[in-house]
Amino acid sequence: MPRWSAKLRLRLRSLLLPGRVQRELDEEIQDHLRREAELAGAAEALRRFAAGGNLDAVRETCRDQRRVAAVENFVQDARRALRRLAAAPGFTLTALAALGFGLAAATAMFGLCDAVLLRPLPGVSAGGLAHLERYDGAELLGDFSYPDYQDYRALSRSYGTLAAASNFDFDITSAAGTETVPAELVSGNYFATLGVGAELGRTLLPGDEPAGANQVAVVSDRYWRTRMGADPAALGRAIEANHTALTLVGVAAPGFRGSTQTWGADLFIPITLQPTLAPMGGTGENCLVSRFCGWITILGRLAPGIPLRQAQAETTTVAARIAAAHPGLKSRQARVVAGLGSWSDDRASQSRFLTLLLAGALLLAAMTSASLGSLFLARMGARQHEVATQLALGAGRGRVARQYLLEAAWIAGAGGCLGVLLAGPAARWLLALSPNAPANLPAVSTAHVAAFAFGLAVVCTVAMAGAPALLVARGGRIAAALQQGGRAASAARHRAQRALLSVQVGLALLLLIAAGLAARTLQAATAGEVPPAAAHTVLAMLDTGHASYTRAQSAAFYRRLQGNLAAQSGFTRVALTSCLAPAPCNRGPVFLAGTEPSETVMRSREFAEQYLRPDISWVSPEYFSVFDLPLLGGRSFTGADRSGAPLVCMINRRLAERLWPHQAALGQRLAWPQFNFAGGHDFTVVGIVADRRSESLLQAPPYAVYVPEAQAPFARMWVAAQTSLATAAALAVIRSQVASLDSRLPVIHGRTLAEQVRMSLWQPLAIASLAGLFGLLAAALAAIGLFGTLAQFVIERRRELGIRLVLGATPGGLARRVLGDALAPIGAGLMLGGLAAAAGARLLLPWLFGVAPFDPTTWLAASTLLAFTALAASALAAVRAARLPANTALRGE
Amino acid sequence: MSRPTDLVQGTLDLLILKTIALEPSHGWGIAQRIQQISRDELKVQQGSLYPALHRLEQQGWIRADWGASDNGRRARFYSLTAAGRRQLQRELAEWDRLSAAIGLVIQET
Repeated sequence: MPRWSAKLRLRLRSLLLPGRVQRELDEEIQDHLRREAELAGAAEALRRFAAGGNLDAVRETCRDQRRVAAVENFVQDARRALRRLAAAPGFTLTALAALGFGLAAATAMFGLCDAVLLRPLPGVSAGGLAHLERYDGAELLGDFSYPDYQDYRALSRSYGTLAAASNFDFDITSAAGTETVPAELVSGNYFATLGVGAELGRTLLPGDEPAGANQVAVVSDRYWRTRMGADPAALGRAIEANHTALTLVGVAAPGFRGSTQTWGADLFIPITLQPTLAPMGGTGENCLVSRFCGWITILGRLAPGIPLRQAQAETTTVAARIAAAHPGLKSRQARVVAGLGSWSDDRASQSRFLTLLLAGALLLAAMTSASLGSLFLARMGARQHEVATQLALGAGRGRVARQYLLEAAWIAGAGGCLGVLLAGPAARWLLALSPNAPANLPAVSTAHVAAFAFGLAVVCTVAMAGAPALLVARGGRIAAALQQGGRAASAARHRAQRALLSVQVGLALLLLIAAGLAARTLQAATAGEVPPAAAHTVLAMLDTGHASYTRAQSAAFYRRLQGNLAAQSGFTRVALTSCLAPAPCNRGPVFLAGTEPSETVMRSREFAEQYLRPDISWVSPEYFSVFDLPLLGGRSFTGADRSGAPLVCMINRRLAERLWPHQAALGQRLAWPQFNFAGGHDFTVVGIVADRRSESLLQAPPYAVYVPEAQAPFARMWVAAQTSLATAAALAVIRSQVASLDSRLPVIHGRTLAEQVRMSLWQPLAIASLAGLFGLLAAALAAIGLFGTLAQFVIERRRELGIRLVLGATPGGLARRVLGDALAPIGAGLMLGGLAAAAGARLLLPWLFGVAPFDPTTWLAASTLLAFTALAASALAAVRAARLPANTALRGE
Repeated sequence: MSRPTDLVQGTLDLLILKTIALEPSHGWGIAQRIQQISRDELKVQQGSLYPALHRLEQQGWIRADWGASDNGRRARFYSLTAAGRRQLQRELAEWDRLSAAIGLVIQET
């Protein structure tokens, strides 16, 4: 055994088993004595023993030899710190609650950031994974086409394999009914590329890709357990997906739910089944052949030893070759991005959002530390005589300073533990609040979260007790401290206390301004945009494509459903629409009738930039009243605008002004060349409606065209019903009415319009609520810090105040004097916070709408609220000073 | 050795190391052997012996193992570690140097 490890073992033994070490020594000495007695007689042995010193002295000398005194002192100090904390339960509990909350909030946010931004998807082995993005210059384009994927796969050498994946909802029909299940259409090498195995049976293989051999499926472990009762006999059974029978060949390894964070697939099906299972919305295009269908994410694992740079160089060449061979395509370049991801994941936006929340939580933790730091300094003021005595009795400055750090460390350590314990539940709670939270996230990692929480706890310890410890360590002369009750040493402490108070007020202001801006955004974003009856408008999404309806059948189905629902008791108005925020609307190029270009030109690369692409919604006549969209001119749709009648449309004011800036839009004709249903593609404008922000309530309203759903039947529609029933009851009615018409059709989403609005406003809503909560907490903590500090000032200045009283000062004058002490740090804090907010407000820009970062109302309200709270807390302390009876004050010294 | 502190500092360590270098032994055995070999000139009291053994063990120069002794009871047997063997060489060299120096001074005066 090397010498150092033998030494370490002995030290640990002495520390951890002191009783046992002592007993062994006693046994040794007894044995010694017994042997001497046997040799020389008992009396002589005792005499010799006494000559060697008494037993306790021997024990003590031996203990000194064990060299663990430093550690034992430390343990002693830690115990003393704990006792001191227990003696001040009010302070300790406040500190624990405040710091515990701050650390838990920061740790939970970090856990979320870690899971969403840093850690690999569940079940996927991480190293060397990458995905491709396609570009036209700097513009990021959507997904790849299948022929593009085939080209990249055939021409690339830098990747072990390149796999394709695409997300779809499929209806799974079983004895229990029809259920919509998130699925991924994947290439045969998908599982091998991701390094995911099968828990049961096999994964999909390259042999499953060719048409004819591809009627197979793999399910996730979750699906197998929750829907198939974890029955091993499920293998080989048929799964009916979108009314096509597939054979279940395997269950994927536990945890794995696909390659997309936002999706969370339960069903994996060969990609070549797309034309059968998921014909693309009526365009009639075969997306396995067409380069105009963008629907595929390309994923790969870099071949061993190939750096990302080299893969990028090759991919650039391949993209250029594809672009040269197909000049009509818009995509010219491709970029290799490390890690999994897809166009729809939008990691950049999530990353910005989560980092912002993390920053907010860290601000709260910093704020809490500052507030507790000022309380520590106040306690130090109360303890200065004790400290001076300790120093005078010969305690090392380092050891006395350490006492403060140890007290803070206990609080921060407990807070850190609380943070680790709460991080998982808090992260889950936040995700549950988010209506569009990523479905496929790894569980919060205890190791990462613990490392973060305890790292932060160390920082907080220093922030809380650093100032007192430093003041003691540097401190003035001990004798002076003893004589004057520490008044000489107080100046430095008071400076530190004022600085900490300013920091608290500043951080609280920062949080309150952020909360205010987010709240104003919510107000501005919803003002006039959300129908008053939103909470009583129930939405349900249907897709007749799931039952392979023709357009005429689809139109007939929706007509009957609408009629049946309107006849139900409790349902007032029922509307249909193809588009509902926050999901993106269908967009199409429109032209003044007669100016539309040929199809070749339309498909050319320059096309998208040149032509107007408004949102196009298929709606029923009731849409405008249910969604409270005012008619500005002309007429709304009527029952007469049906299939066979002249094509009509309504447009919003913005589009009318853009297309016909100098004349009336009503009666003009609009061409929508992609419309290929019946009777040409020219629509007469019959009505103009107000602008409405659709895709995001945080963006300017788009150009919008509305066409009667009866003239242009669409498969996927939202039913929007105003009802007096409760949401669940209303949805049950809709489900039963749908089922009575066609039991094969599932209701895909069901919620109220108010919930739908919350989905699109989720991020500013989260910022407003969290920043609001943090801001109010911070203001409360600042108030506690101020009160604690000033109250301590009053006690320290008792003598001075008493003399002033005796000399004729009024109690009111004393109170004003104490209050005056608080004004400077509060003012400095407000200024500091204002400067920080001015620098940081720009970071909030992506989430602001209808409010400037320097919105005077918000700034004024936040500063006023904070100043009022701070002054109220100071006033409480000042009143204490005013109540001071003169004789007590003087006797106190 | 009734007053071991009178000895040159560190001599007891040297004696202990040298004694157990010959054969591992328990505390009493070490004291006995030092006494015998020095012809009763050096008597090591337990008040100095056990702290010294403790110190040497903490330095990693000797190690202690419980074993059965001649009287049937269990006892801690001390033996030299590799580091202890090197330390013994160093202390012996140091002792030679010191005693030679003292000898020179004594002969001169």
